[in-house]
Amino acid sequence: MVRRESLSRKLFIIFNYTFLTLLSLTMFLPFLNVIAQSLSSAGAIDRGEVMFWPVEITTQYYKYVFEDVSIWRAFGISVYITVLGTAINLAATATLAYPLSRQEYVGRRLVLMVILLTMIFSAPLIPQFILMREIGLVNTLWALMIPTAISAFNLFVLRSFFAQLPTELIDSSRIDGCGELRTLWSIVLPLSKPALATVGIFYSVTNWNKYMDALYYINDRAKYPLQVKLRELLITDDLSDTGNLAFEITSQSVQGVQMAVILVATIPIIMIYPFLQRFFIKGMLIGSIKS
Amino acid sequence: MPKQAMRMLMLTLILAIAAGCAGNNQPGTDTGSAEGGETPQAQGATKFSISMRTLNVGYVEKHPDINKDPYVLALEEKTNTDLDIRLIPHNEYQDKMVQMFATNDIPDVVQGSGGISGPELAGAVENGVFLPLNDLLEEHGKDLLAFIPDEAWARMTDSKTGNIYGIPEILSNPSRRATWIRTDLLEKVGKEIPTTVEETLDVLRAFKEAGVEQPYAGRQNFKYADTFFGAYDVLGYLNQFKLFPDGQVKPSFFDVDNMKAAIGVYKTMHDEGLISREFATIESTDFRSIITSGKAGMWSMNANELPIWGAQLMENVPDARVALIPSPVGPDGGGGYAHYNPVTRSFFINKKAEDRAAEIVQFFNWMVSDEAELLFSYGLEGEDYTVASGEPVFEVPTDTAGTDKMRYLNYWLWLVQDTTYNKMVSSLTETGQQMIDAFDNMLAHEGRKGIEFDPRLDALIRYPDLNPKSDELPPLILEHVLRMVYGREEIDNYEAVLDEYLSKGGNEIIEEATTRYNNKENAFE
Amino acid sequence: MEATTAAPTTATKQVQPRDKRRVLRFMWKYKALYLLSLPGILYFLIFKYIPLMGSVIAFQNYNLFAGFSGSPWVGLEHFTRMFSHYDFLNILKNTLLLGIYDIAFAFTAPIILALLLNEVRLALYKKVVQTVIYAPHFLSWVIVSGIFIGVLSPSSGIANTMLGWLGMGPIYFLGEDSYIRSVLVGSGLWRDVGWGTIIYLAALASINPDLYEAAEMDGAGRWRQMLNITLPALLPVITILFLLKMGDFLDYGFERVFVFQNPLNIRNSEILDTYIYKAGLTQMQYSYATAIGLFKSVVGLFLLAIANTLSKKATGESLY
Repeated sequence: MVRRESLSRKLFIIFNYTFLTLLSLTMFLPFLNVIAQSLSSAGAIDRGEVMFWPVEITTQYYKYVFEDVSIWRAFGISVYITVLGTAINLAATATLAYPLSRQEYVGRRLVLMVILLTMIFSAPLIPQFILMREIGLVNTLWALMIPTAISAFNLFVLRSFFAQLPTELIDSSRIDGCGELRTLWSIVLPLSKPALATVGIFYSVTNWNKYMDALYYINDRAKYPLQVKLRELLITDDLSDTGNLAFEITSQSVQGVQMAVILVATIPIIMIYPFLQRFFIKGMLIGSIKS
Repeated sequence: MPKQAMRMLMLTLILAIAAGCAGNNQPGTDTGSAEGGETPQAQGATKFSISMRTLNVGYVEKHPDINKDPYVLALEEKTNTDLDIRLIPHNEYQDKMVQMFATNDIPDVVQGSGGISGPELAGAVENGVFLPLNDLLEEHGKDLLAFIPDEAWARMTDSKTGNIYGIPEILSNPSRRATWIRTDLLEKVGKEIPTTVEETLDVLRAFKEAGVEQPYAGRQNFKYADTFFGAYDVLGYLNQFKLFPDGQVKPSFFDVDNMKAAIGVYKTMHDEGLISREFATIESTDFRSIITSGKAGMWSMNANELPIWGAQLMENVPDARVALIPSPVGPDGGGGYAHYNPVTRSFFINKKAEDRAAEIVQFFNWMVSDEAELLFSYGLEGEDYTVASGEPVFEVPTDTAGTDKMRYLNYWLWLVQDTTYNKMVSSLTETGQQMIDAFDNMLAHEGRKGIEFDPRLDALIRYPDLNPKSDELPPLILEHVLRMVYGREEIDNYEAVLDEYLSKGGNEIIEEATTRYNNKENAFE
Repeated sequence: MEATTAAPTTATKQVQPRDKRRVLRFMWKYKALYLLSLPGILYFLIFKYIPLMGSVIAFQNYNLFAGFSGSPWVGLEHFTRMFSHYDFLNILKNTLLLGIYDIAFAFTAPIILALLLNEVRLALYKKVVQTVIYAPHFLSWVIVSGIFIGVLSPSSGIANTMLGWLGMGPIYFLGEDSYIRSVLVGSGLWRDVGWGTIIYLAALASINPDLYEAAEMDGAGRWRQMLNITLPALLPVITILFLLKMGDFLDYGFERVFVFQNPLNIRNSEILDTYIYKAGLTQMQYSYATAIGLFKSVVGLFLLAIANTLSKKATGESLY
């Protein structure tokens, strides 16, 4: 292998690292500011003294968030929905993406167009309410997992990855007498780890952030996921104008509470990516194909 | 096999569609949650369900089960009822209410915000979802009729039929916002409390010289920064239509001379740095920080926030002193801020609960009794207050748990009351008494009101750019006014702005407003 | 993946049987595939198509209580109302411009960033950077706008401080028509560029490293390797993402614009989504809002169909 690195290559590497570091800083520093504010006293925040390090450290905001013990149950519910929901998502999406990625599926073009239309045209809210009522999922956690079981976008992405797999592998699996489901499970999925990880991240984030669905379809407050409970702690402006000023918000939550809420709402899900990064390592497929 | 599957599929589809179309909301059909609806009237407590917005009350939102709360139980005991309270999330109140109506999942009593045509009701009153209450009130709600003033009842009445549809919670003093000033800074610059617009500008200039960063606290869209529009009586909001000398009913910003003067004042403040040059992007959180960190000299805010904002200000700036002052007056000697709706919450009774309607009205009737006032102001005897020589003895709590509970009782659980302030509680503390004083003696004498149309004028809905908010100018006018303040347009061109307003639908608005006013069609003054 | 580029999905490996009986028998042979896809198709029919039929309210004056059957029909009234709105062309122009900027910047940036990340050798550094740059995506638009308004503040923001070093006066970025689109695009980039790299990194991970080795043996430099190996390997992913974006062309997003809007910049920042909010949803105008939404979708569909056909001809990749 050629080892000599040209000057232009060296320059590029320097530029690359510099650029990436600067870029990361522009994204990291505001986060640092958020974290700092969540640990600073209200006075320090109001006076604008908080930059990247907490001033007059206090844990009052986090105490405030966690003093309601039911927040832990809500946290558990969110974890449940995210894990189970994502599993359902992946299973449902993969079992639909796989057939649609096969040449043998006559009419796949039609099916894909049909699915595509549901992505471009979105239904107005009120018919969705009515459908949910008719189906009877209201006030169950299934309401947060079934109606959004397959995202058309993710379906197309996964299908595209499946379609690029070498057809010889699938053919030989069929010749060996494996049914389609078995083929999917033993051959296709193991080879699609990056794609599954990607789509898995997308679904997980959606599930973790579920908010409006929970508000609409869950009436039992004990079943509220984390985002709903956290949002209640946040007293912020009401964007809508009902025409009656009596309900305006004059005492918003202090900045510190807002920041603490943001962190509690997002840190758990941000942490998913580092765990899944091993699926994004180069050359994942090759070992498997060779064997 | 595929063919059979196809047939099954079509059948399922068709059935589902049919169900979806048919199952729509005829009031009076199927589901809904009438508890014990059709059974003959039991001798026991009257059971009914009621939906209530959480109003951001921490005690309610954190409660494991509000229906088992001791105060709710006490309320049920005193009124011989069995409540099933359904909490509606505060922020998404309107969305959730629409969903409730869309799926015909309507409780026996529905809490609304204000009159009978609010967007949260989604047209329920017009579509006959609720009971007219006129007779019921005569028979079972005499105290309510006596307590609640006519203008509040007018808001709950459909002018075409004369039917009263809901029971309102009232606001007797419609001036909620006040002008605040830093008296310590006033002292520092050696000035008196200003009364007119000119005097106010002088004080602001003095503040600026003394180094105050934002002499007047400005804010996006002039929301909570409309002191000077109020002074000139050109607020132009939803409830600020006026009858002009030419017999037409127009928004108050049609008063050209006063409007130009008001815009001129803001432009002066902008040019001289008496208001932040970035006020167009200052929103509520920053607004509050600026004030509580001591950077502002004068601003507008709800009077009842005095204890809270004042305390925070003094925590950050120990020498700061703040007072509520009469708002600067304009050429007509008047000033102040837009009046609020005389109705805060309102309660509607579902037609399906007709069998219990009498008892429900009695329940609300109890709300204006002395016994109710005691329960909702102080709490439970023995637990929250004691009795000495026949009088209740109560100490206002200062801890967070205590204040949360007070807010819950005073403000949330007490369904029908005068929400101006809680007399029994406020009179016990010094800051409370200051507030009562401010409301009774100062705010009651200021404020701007006009003609309001509820339901909103159709023309306003058709032309969203001309549609004002409750406390903001319509987008079209606001855009030009802001540009004038920022020096990008000439104030002298204001007449052209009005022409633009007229040509883009304003004519229809004025026509409809005048007609409705003359026909007294739900036009309130 | 072998050395060749991805097999185009339209090229057939076997000859598709022509006559009907052959077709049915063919389908029967692969019945497992059809069965496997059935639940998914049912899902879309039930949970997407049935509510979608509710879009008829765009042609009615929908009354919540009268339902679909009881509400009066008004035909194309809402559409004429939308087209004849005096500001419609401006709103459409703003929406189109933002859509174009979105494709020019927000679509291409993640690809470039993914390629840059791909060149990083230090595993730990790469992992950290990946996590950091995708984190802003989780902040709500309200927070993001707060950050940007602060950064761009004429009096206290970093941006203007740096302008000061260059000798330029402070600019009230958010108080002018001329900068708002840049702010919108820039804030969108800041928030979502890292998130957008995820899918490209996944695609890059699927490339056979042997290809690179072989290319190096042949003396190809990194740049040439990228052109001949990496980019073609990414082509399928780029294509479908691009086509999907075409379908959403007019869907710039409500909240991301609303939080930055104020009367001083509204002339260049009012888009269809914010207009729908103001004119439709706050005033219970469900039908009108649905009609505008339909218009957006139809335009998206049109663009997508064109793009799909072109893409099929040019690269062989397509969505359907």
